[in-house]
Amino acid sequence: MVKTLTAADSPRQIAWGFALGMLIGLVPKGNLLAATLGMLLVATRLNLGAAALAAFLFTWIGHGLDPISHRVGLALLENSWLKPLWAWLYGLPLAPWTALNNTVVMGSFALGLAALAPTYFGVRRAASRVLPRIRQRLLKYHIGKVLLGLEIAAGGGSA
Amino acid sequence: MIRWKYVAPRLAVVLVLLASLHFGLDPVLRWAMISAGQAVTGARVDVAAVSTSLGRTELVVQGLAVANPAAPDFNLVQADYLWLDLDAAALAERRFVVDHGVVHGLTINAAREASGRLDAQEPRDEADSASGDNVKQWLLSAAQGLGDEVADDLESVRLARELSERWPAEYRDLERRIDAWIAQAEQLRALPDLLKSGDLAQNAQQIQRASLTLKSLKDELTELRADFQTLAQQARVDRTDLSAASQRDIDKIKRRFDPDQLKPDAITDYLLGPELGAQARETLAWLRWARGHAPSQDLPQPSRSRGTDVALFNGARQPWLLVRSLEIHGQIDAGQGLHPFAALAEGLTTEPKLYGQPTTIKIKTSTPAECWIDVALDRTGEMPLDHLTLACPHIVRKEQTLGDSQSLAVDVAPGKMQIAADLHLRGDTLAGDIRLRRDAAWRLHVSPQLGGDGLESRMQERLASVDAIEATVSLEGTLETPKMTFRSPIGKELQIALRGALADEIAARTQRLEAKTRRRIDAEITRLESQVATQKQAALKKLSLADAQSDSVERLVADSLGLSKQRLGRELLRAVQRR
Repeated sequence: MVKTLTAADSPRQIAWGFALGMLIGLVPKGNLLAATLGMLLVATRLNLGAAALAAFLFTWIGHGLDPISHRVGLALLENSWLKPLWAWLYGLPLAPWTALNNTVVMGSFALGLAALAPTYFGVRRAASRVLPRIRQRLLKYHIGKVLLGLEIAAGGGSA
Repeated sequence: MIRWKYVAPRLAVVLVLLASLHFGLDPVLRWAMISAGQAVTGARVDVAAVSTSLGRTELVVQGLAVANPAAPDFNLVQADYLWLDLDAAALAERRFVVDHGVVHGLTINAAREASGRLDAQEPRDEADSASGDNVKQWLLSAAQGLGDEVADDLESVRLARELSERWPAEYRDLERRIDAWIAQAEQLRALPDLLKSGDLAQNAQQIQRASLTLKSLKDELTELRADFQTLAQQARVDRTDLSAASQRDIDKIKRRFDPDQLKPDAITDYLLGPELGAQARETLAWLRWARGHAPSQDLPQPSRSRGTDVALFNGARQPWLLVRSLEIHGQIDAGQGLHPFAALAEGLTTEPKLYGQPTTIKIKTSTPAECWIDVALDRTGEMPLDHLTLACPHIVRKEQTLGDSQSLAVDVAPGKMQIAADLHLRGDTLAGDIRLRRDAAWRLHVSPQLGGDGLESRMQERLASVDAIEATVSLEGTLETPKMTFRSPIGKELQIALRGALADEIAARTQRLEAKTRRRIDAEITRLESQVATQKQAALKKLSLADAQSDSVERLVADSLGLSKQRLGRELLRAVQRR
């Protein structure tokens, strides 16, 4: 949380980090899809703090959404138009390890993808408005100065 | 310039992932093997170490031990080293296909240091044949019976003893009733004095009572006579029953020692049943084990705890778990030390219908004898089909005694033995046979009770043409309740020899025993009849006494009233009233 608020990342990076973290949180773990999303997160310059926060939060939300995810996943996997596509995808090397043939994995992934853009825009707008004010308030406190100062120093050191 | 702020956390995450994979994969696989193994066998599974090579898609397992659920102090299998070469393409499709595997140091039935029991196991019922016991029983009873001892369980003797208790009791009861009658009749002797006394009105009630007693005594005497006759008739019926029982006893004795009762199959069972039965039971136990652990239908792939898996395969699919070929080198503990063997298993899979080919296991042992065992477990159709063939052409056997040396036995010299088996299982129906041939010198042993050396040499002569001991056990029924039928030329020959050699001896001894039995039965009957005759005479004597007493009382009363005896019964009261 502190890292998210004090990092020098742009609202765009924070929003993408949160959105991807939300997707990772929703998808059940222990499959290649979750691992790929994780790798994507660490491979890009997104805000890891926001991603970790979202992943933690949406892991719990994801469990609660299982019945809906199952229904969505089942509808997609059983759809006669899409079936050839799934069969082709599933025949690709490593694709069976993604567990996309599982209704909850497919459903939660689809829900996460659908919520990706709204989450991104929502979080970006919020971050643009809230973050400058929070930073200004933090500067009034000693601990905030320390945190931001460290952050600024670290940023200067690496540049 | 490296931007450490960006690289460091990502590098750290990647390193953690790689470290988890490197250090965590093998323990996770080891845990999965133990869990899955214990779930399948129902007994403890130990794995010392697992190491994987993702680059070469190889898996090495060390120190594998699977406890025997039926005997938890022993391992079903244990292996020092297991190497599996996984098909990388199949692995990409989330299929575990072993192109080739090698097992070293596989030991079957080795003792465990600690019990491998996970939970209580139900003991299995062992089917057994009883015909061998019948022969043993025949020989035992022949050995005992031909010793001229009359058995105590003869029906006629038992019946005679029962009658010797019943008849005297019944006669004693009759005598007691006659004695009571006489005592009552004695009291009526006072009646004439009452009648002669002048005061008839005063004694009217006594006279009336005496009159009724006299009538009742006469009726009771008639009843006593009838009961005596009934007893005599019953004695004649019992005598007839006794004769029939004695005849049945004689027939039973003849049947008991009839050599025709000995069937060749039963003799084979008696002599070779323990050897062949043990082989058959052991073979069936392995078949039962193999069947119990072979998947009867395609096992479902492991599914996730969340959601359901939808089948999305396109075109030909491989089984989830398949071992195309597995070389096994190990040793088996058959109770006489460890013996090395080599085996090749092909087509081991959890989805036999999908694979479409049967699982085959070919085993070869080299010491102490060369044996070939081929097992085919076909689960590709609706009905499970199993086929087992076994061939051990050169088993070296030590000196052995077949049968029971206390009655009839065959002493076999050291030599070679051949065993061959061909068993089929269609569904639950078992069919096939196990054949045994022993090329070795052999000699009959007959106990002294059965005839000893004399009979032994006579039978040996008759069996001179039999140069090898051969036998076949045919198996039918089901795997759980198999029915075994034993056949052998030696059983047939031995039956013929036994009948020929024992016929005269048994006939003579049976006759002697029959005569002796008859004498004993006759003695019992004579003793009984003599005892009864005495009691019958005593009862008859008392009955005559009662008759005389009855006459005497009637005459006294009739004389005192001046009536004839015939009119006394109906006119006694009237005559008294007239007086």
